[in-house]
Amino acid sequence: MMNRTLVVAAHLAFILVGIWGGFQVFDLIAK
Amino acid sequence: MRRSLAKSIGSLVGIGGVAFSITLLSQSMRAVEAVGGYCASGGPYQIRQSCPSGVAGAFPLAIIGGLVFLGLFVFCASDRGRSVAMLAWSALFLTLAWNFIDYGVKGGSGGGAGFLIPGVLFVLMGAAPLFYVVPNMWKSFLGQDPNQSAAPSPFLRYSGLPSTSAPAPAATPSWPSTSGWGMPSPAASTVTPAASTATVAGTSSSGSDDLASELERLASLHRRGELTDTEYEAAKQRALAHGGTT
Repeated sequence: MMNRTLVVAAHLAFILVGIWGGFQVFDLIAK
Repeated sequence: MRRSLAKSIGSLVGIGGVAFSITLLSQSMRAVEAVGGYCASGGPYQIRQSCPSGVAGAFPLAIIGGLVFLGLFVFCASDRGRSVAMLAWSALFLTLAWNFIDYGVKGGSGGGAGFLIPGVLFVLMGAAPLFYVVPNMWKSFLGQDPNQSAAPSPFLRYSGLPSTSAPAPAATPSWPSTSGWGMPSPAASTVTPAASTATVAGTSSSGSDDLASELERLASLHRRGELTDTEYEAAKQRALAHGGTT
């Protein structure tokens, strides 16, 4: 269970990083 | 069984990449809404409304990138986690729905209540799969078999039994438990092939031959008009009930 929670948490963290990255890249390419 | 590190990283990068692509697509859509809801760029035409710089390239990048990242996730995720990929559909449609509704409510240049229609439509399209996917994901997270629910999804159900009105065979194989995609997994079968073959051979090898020839004989009589439809149906039911020993 602990292991599964860690896996889910890691994926959620990467989703957040992805969203943040999406905003950053958009700001970079769309002027 | 431990998954390889490469697959774990691939799964993380894949899901992060999908989130990245949907965000990029959403932001690009908002940029187009900000200039009136439509734009064009390139080509030897006189363009009424040019796209904001970079947006024309961001759309294909986001769409193709999203599909590639989704494929990476599906390839690398474990059997249990793979169904999370279905959430990409909901994430995409609900994100775009928010943009439509926001644009429809705020109005602005080119916006208006008309945009609420695709907004509501996208909410319905995005939310509908959640009612099935989320409960199963939760069960999967808790370590239960997601396909053992009381009301399995009709499109994931599989029936391998013939659709005749014959009585159930002596050894009806209980359908094997299925993996996250709803596909049968032979390893999980409760009936070994050798056992089921032996049972079938032992109980109904000659019986099925008799039944087949009896059904053929009845069909032939029916075709020749020697049996009416009612008589044929009754005789067929009797033959099926008695396994060809009428």
